[in-house]
Amino acid sequence: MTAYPRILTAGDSGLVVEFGAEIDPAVNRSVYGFTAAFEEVAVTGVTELVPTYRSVLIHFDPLQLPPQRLQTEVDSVLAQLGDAIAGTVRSAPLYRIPVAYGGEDGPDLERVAEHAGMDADRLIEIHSGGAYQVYMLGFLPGFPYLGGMDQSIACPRLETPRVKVPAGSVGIAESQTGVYPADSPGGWNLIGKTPVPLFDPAKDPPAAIEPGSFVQFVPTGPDEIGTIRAEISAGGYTIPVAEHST
Amino acid sequence: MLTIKTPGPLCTVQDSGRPGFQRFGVSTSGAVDQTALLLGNRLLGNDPNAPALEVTFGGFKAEFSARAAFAITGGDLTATLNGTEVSLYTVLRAGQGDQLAMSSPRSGLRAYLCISGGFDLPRVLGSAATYIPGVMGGLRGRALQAGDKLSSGEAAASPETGTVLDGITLPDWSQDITVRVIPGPQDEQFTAQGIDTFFGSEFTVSDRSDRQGIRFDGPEIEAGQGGYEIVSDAIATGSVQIPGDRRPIALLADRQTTGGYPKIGVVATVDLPLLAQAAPGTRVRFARMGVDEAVKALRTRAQEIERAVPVPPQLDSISVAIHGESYEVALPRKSVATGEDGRILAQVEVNGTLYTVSIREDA
Repeated sequence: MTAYPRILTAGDSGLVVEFGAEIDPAVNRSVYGFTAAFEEVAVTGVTELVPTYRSVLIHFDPLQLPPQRLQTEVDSVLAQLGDAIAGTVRSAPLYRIPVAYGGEDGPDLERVAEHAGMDADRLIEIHSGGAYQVYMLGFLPGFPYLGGMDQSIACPRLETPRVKVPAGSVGIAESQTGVYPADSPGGWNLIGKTPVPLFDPAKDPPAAIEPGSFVQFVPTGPDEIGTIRAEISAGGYTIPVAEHST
Repeated sequence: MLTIKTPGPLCTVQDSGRPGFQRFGVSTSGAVDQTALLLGNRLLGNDPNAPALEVTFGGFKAEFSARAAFAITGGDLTATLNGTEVSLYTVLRAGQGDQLAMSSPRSGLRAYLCISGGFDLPRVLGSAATYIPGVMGGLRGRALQAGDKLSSGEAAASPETGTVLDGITLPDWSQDITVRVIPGPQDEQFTAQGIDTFFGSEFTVSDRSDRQGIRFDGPEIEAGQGGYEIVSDAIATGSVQIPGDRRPIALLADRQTTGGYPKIGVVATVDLPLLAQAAPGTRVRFARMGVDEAVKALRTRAQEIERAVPVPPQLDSISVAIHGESYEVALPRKSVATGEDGRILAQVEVNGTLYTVSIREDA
């Protein structure tokens, strides 16, 4: 049995703090709990932290911050957090993303529903019913890895991936759901689309939803989508956000 | 002021990169050979982060439409100005209509065309580095094409033509290379035999390599029970991952920020420029290195780079004609051509009269 948390070497300029080996909501909470606590210490020589499913990679400049000293800083933050880290009730933003389900925006909706043995309305109800944990962003700029999809709506990937999936497409692949931040080739089953831009390199931060937060998809009719689109064009739209405690 | 005639296989604008946004899935990008970029900018008196062109493999032609001081660093891609071969790591000057070319590699793979003032392009998330998979930076987030025009920013210094860097040793890229690797973070996922194969065999750089990573051909690396998959985690520059085909891939500037293959080790930062210049076909061995040793080597290299100061061209003596007689005048071993009109360089006494030798720039 491996004991967690543990510290691993990632070259002379990287240190990994690992909290588990599984995709697990509690492990991921520890990752973001540690990230927040370590950032508060603001150690000189740390260039950036990259939290993922189960670990945090600390990038640092070893000429400014000797690896031994960084390790001491990490140990001290871990000791302060103690066993409480995974159990900590953490409040994070819950982003309510408007989605037009089905039709041209979600060409695979009917097929995914059929695969799940239910009608499309029921599938939409289940898909939009839960708050998804944003485990990490990766693969492409702004691409969120979401956890917590109801397994009853899981569906295998397309046998032949599409050459171009339009930005904003909401999809299901196996037991995961996600949303494409940019036009991209892809093999996910597309069930809907959001007009909200999720990644804009002209903004800082560039991603509309940050890792460690939560996302809920809100079924939205064509009129309202039109209104939102107009607000986005006019620069006056912000994603509705609520507090979410875990 | 510079028009691309042919970009070659891949020519992009790069700087020191775009750190700070990896948690949003944005790769750091930037020059694959950071040392070459840094030295080029240092030669020109530029900001160390000034954008340059990263020319890959050759096939590059461009035309200057205005006077410019520039330098070429990194790999030797047989660079010529108006057909005449030019020196690398040297301040050069081009005039309007001058043709710059880099035809094919003699050693190394990537050359950096640095220009006085740096190329003037908008910063995206703090950097002008081109990140093609994310369509950002550089010129509209893409590789340069024939017809693209680039201008330079305001120069902080006016570097003298012929200036070179003193006190720097450049790696020899024409040889087979040994790259030092620090084991981890997932070295425990491989069998003892797998680790031995990795550190004990010769690998060859595959032609399926790019700015995301270098693929190697060679023996298979054996994994243990965990196999060739992990729950995705973040990736440091130089990470060597072993995917399902069991051959190593060393991840470079445009690597994805996260990935699901186990990483047997990470290349020591000091050896990244070596890897950056490894052309397809280069034979590579991996040698085990400890973290402390790697930091020490990096510090030594950083100090060497810090000491590499630009040295203007030097002359020992010049001939001076006075009243029809020619005199050889010794010059102090320092700058002679600063461009400051009237500066006295030396003095010579002829028939009791003291003459001074000074600079006069004729327009």
